[in-house]
Amino acid sequence: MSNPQAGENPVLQRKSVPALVLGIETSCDETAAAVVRRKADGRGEILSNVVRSQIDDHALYGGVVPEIAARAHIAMLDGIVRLAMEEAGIGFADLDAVAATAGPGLIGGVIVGLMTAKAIALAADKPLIAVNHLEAHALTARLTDGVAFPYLMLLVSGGHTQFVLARGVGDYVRLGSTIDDALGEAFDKTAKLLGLPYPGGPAVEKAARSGDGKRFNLPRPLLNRPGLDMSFAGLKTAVRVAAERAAPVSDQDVADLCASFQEAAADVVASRAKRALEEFAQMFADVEPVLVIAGGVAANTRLRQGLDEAARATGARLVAPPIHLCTDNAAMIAWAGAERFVLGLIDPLSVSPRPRWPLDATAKPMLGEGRKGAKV
Amino acid sequence: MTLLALDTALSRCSAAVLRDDGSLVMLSEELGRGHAERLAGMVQEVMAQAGVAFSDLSRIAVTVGPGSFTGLRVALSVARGFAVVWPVELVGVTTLAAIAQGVREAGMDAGAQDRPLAVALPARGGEVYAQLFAAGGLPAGEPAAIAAETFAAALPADARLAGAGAEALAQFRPDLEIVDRAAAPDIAAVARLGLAAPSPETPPVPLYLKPPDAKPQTRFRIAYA
Repeated sequence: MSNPQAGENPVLQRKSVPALVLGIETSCDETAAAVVRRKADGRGEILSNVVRSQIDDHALYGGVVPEIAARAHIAMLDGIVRLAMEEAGIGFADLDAVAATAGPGLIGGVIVGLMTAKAIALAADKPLIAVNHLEAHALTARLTDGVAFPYLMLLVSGGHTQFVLARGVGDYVRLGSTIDDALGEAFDKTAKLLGLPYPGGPAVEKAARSGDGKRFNLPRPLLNRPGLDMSFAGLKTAVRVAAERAAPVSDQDVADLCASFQEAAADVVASRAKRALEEFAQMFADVEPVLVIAGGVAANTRLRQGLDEAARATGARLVAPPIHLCTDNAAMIAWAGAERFVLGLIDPLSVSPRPRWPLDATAKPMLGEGRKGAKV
Repeated sequence: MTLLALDTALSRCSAAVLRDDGSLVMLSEELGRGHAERLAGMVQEVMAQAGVAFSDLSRIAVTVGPGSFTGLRVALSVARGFAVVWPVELVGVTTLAAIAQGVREAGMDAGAQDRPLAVALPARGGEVYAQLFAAGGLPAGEPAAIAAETFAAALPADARLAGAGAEALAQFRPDLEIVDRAAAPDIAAVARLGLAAPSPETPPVPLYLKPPDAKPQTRFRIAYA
């Protein structure tokens, strides 16, 4: 044995190795496959990124219907994987690993993606990597902007609203979370109440543009409490009460309700972000504070404006990956797979799908935590 | 031809390798749950025991239902995933046809060639997944999710009953004999049906027989002026 020390430390041995990974994402209402390369220097390159949205399949129901989603995933996924491989211009033999979302998410869809990945890994004789969907969101900023650990992440989507401290691959601390509805869910429910189309986020934002955000005085729940937890269920109810008082509503009423709701939501998130960045600065005095945003609600312009202000007020850098990498996609799954692969973090073919899978195993469970999709 | 057969549509998790010469290696476990964890390892095991590699496979037969929606998607995802990597034919086999085939193969029914066989599996809401097979084994109707009473009433007087839903049919047709109560197909029957099937033109798709459980939203919406 020439160099026993190197043999004992596969992590250090492999970190400088490039990795080419196929990623699969099926945990909610996007069927997606992508090929991503992590270069030896740690930088990422997206070779292909195919996403097929199921929005039309669910629009009639005003939210994601799990069984409809699962049926669409199995009908589409193999073709989408073929397309991703073709667009990347590679064969299965070229891959270093196959990664798939194993949770959290809707179990029917997760099973389709994870089983497809297991089959490809087995048939192509490649390692399997079971990726936590939330970790993939958290690591996206390393793919797009090469952000170094530690950093703060705000994940804000239809299923999640949480502040996470990312200390390393597989090493996360949840600093705060919604205690009831996810913010995206509150947008969807507000849209539903006001007769706006699904998905609610873009519809509410559009209506809010011609609205007066100060007309309705809506609550900012938990704003004056310590900590980083948030609540949106009360805000949603307040919108409903205000709408009922104003009924029958005009288009201007609806625009004002949307604007007032969006103001309140953005205020809550921005004030929490500011506090999170202050806490970060205390924890890591020598590190430039970075706030990374992820999730579909990150597309909301008003929310971004609030986060921008919070970052500026605390001397932090706001990193917002392009919106198609903030919403659900498979490039982030492939990238998370690559980050795990170079650390030797691979999974057996017996790995379980995990509909609930918090990023921070030590954090106490919250209502709605680790659950995706509108609760229809 | 070397064929791999998979089934996770019901309570069993099964995999088998069948060769042209009729030699069969199979693994089948009564799981209830955990198919997603077990199936890939089971495929590795049967292929190793049979001494075949993926490059040797020319066809994969997989049960497409009726059965558990989530369960049938486990094996179907795996079959379709294999076919993305290797140029294999995919053949879908219904659980009802496989159970009917199993009954005939088992020889438990000496007169089966001459008499119709009704196969039924329990479905929710007082229904059964059911199909009638004619004497000789060919389908005499389409598979359906149907009230046990309705299906049973239409059965010919010389039919016999099979499958875990047979009891539900017999309640309404005490005159008919139950010859088998299989809750899941025999993987050997799935493999042999798959081997006998013609080359498919399109990949197999799930046979759900029931729509997703979802209603268009009718929730409260504010009144417009």
